[in-house]
Amino acid sequence: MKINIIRPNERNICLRIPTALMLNRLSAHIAAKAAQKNGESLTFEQVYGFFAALKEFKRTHDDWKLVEVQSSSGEYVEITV
Amino acid sequence: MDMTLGKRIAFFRKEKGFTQEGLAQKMNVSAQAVSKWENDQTCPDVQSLPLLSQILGITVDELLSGRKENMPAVVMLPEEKRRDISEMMLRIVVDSADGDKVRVNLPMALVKVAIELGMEMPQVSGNKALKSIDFKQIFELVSHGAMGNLVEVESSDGDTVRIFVE
Repeated sequence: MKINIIRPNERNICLRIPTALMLNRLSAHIAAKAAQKNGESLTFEQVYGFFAALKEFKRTHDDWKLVEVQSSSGEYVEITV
Repeated sequence: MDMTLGKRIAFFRKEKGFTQEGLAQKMNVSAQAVSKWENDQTCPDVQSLPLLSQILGITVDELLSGRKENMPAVVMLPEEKRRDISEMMLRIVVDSADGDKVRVNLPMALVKVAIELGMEMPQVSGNKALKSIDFKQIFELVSHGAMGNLVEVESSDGDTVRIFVE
């Protein structure tokens, strides 16, 4: 997973995080807990199932741009899986 | 649009009705710098691309690649012409009244899995218009052959949300 952050007049940030580190059982537990704290009824099984599907999709579709955000103040964030 | 970066800058600048001086002023650079960009002698700084694209009213991707975000009209494909749903991409385009732009590309395969798991689709932004969109219905539409610009919502705040399938 690659996270690119471009800010005007600031240093650019490019984070490369191994997908396995982001999408595993532990992160699924953390994500489910965090969602429950925020009032969402997500279970570990749902999150882990979704992560598995995401990893499967990534295998066949490399360099897939998940999100691109451009703020009115000129900041730009891009997440590529 | 098969053009160089400089030609694209010039094209979008003229489309917006700016002079080179006007654009230079907004970008806080000299008019000569803009002239050099447009003549492909130099390129704008990477850090200034978000601001430049915002002033020109396009995305960074559109500025760099020249690919315009296409919003095809909705069509119902007959069964023999339909593609495998797992090869399709659901694109969510949110343009807020404040000038923020959010683009999300979700593979239909993942949307299907999320629905099967009983998950609510994640809130892509705090946009009110997006909360009321039923992704199950969108998936149903796509699985019955609907393609193109499926949803177009404009909230009272001036935010627009468009969802289309490719």
